[in-house]
Amino acid sequence: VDLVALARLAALSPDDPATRGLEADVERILAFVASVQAATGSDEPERPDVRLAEDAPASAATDALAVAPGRKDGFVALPRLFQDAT
Amino acid sequence: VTPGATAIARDVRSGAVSARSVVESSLQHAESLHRRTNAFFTLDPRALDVAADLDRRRARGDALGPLAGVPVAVKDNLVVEGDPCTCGSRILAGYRGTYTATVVERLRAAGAVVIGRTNMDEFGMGSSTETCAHGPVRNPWDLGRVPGGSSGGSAAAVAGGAVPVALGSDTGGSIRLPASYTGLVGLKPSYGRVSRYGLVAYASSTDGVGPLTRDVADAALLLDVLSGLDPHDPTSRPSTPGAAAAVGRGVAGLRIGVLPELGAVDPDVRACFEAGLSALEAAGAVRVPVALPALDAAVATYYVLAPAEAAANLARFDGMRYGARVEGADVAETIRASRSAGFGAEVKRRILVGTYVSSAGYADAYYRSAQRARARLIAELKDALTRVDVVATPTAATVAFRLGERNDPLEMYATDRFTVPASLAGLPAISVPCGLSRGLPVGLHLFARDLDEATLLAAAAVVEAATGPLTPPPADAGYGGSSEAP
Repeated sequence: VDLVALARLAALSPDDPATRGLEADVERILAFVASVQAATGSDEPERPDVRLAEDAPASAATDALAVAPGRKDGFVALPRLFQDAT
Repeated sequence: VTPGATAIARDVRSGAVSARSVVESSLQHAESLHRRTNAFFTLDPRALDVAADLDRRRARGDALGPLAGVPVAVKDNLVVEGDPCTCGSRILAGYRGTYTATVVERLRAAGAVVIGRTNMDEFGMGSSTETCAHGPVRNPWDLGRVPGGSSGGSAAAVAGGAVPVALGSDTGGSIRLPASYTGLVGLKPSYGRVSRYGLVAYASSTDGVGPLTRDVADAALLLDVLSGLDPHDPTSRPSTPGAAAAVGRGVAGLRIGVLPELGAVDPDVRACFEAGLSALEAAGAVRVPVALPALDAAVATYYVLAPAEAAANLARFDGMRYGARVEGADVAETIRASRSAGFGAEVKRRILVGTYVSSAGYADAYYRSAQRARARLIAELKDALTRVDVVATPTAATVAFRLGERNDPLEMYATDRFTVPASLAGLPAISVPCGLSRGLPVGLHLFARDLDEATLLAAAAVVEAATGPLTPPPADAGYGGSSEAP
């Protein structure tokens, strides 16, 4: 995980030692939740690209920071999220 | 044993006790309990005036509601106009609500008196109420142990005798787990049955509001008061009151789905769970084995989707419009500095994970895979619930653990393994006490078909009757009120 890039995308300070200290935890959590791929037979990650996905839940902070090219507006994405979920 | 909401409301309506005396007693005990458990974020002495007004209305001959004079505590993620609301986070220090949550409005309309706000895991992210910025909450049954989370303050407030009922919120088990750890009934209603207008969002596709109570009858009473369509919440749904009537209807012929293998569960917890099942069978229910292989991926699925939604929902806390701000060199730096200073470690972990799993390069592998796993789980549960009426498991694999015992995030996430499936599927679920293990409460967990809370309540009432009242924590002085005239 490129924690500096990830922290910037998440609108957290990449220089904050408390945030940097979470790198190992984040990697372990991602390794654990990767089991959903086996559960559904999906593919490996496409590429190491940490931009927000087209249909990711909207993020006001990333919008403010203008680091989320291609992000759809939240009022489009969230109803779709609910529809998928329910 | 302290009286429940049903008894208090009856006595206040009849004039046997004054609402003011009940609320005064509740506030006193809440203050004492708070010193031991850190259950409350705020206590509100204005509740005495509200209660006195109820007494005046009763004296005038006005009809009082089904929760007349009942002291209630609400979790600190439900906004109330003019009152502080922090969600257990430093980032919302100083924030005050600008409107009132529908559930609080409904409690008030029913005559309940809100006496305070309860501490919680930061933004609901935790299973122990140790991530609260105002300090951890302690379990009234054993002050060295956690009350469960994230609604641990609400659970401690009820279990410790400060209030008969409290509101919590449940995204992956945050009502049911604390109920299990503190010997209470915890009800997570069907997705959309109770309005979320005024509930600060964590993971919008599973968030819900529900009650923590001392008994099943009070849970049913609260559900009837809280549920129903709310024009402010587009996910809310109409529902017919009548939960209270279901409590005594029994379980003759009820089909209880039981997993062939529960995995690692403490032997004492397993014994209590079996005792609960036996009580249901003795009352006429039938045990039916159900295989649910999709449950194996439920925790991983939840810990992709919930952080992804949390990363989006918590983006609004940027130091610009809400709460604390740390000034930086420019706007972007101010936002980053405010969020880095304002959020605790667990919230940052989930924001980082949520951002990663919804990023362009990884969304297929994580977010969309998790949505597919969720769809598979929902289909499997829906199919199982055509063959059985409820599915039963323990609420948790162990009793309440010691403060600081589970420092590893993955170990903490595994605590939710019996509760997240119903959350992901939007199904109603309940935790009801089914015994004690080494002096600590054990919960039995049931989930049912969409909007079928009535069946859950009927089954829970049978387990409750067979288990009997659990011995309250030793320091529980309770709230009783007095018979002094208003």
